[in-house]
Amino acid sequence: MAVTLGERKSGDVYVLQASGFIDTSTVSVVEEKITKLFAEGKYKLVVDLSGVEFVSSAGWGVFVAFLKKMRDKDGDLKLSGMIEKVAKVFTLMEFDSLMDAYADEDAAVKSFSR
Amino acid sequence: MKKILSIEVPAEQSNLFIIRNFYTQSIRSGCAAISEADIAYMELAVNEFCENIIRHGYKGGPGTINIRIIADEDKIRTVITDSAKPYNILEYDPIDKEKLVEKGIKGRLGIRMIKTICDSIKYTRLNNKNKTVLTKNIRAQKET
Repeated sequence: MAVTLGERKSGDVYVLQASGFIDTSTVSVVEEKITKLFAEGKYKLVVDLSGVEFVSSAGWGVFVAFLKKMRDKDGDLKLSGMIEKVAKVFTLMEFDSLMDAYADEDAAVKSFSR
Repeated sequence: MKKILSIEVPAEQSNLFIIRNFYTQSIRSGCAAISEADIAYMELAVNEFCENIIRHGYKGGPGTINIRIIADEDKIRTVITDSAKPYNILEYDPIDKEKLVEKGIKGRLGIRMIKTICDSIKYTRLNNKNKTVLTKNIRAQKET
């Protein structure tokens, strides 16, 4: 299993549902998808990681790199559904002070309307 | 009781998955006291280090990575050996996380992760090989 991406739309929020692992060998799939969504003007994005078992610096780097781009367009990139081991890394590396994360994608989607 | 396990793989990105699987299974079986959090952290640290060897050391060219795990009751030592160009991680400063967002930088996170996770790092260059020892002290109790 490498990485697979599903996609759904909820209002003006796009949800990218990732499964598998995101490392240097698979990150281009994720980066190309987010780049495409950004180019299409979709600046409110939730990346759901509930099916992702591992995220390396390559994956975190893509999420962080798009944060400012999305926010500069009055959007944001938010994460949801991290399994415990991924969430532990998220917290240890203090990414929680940089970006928002939610227990599930519905909560992340709703947060855009607050 | 000390337990030693090792693996040697071609330095290819596609083998990072194999390295991670071997590594997590080895330290889980070799060190009963290690927490799942520490397993996840060290899986990441070793992945990042090997990724650096593949991308920056061998620059995608041929080579091998040898990983030897020495599991003690109170610590895990991971000895990573490669024949790429000299690379001493201790000479590189980790990037500030705020700069990552401000400048939209995708790279350079790996060094920060490795240095955050490991309790000590030692580097030697001998016989045209890099040898780096990543040490993680084991907490007394499993985390929930």
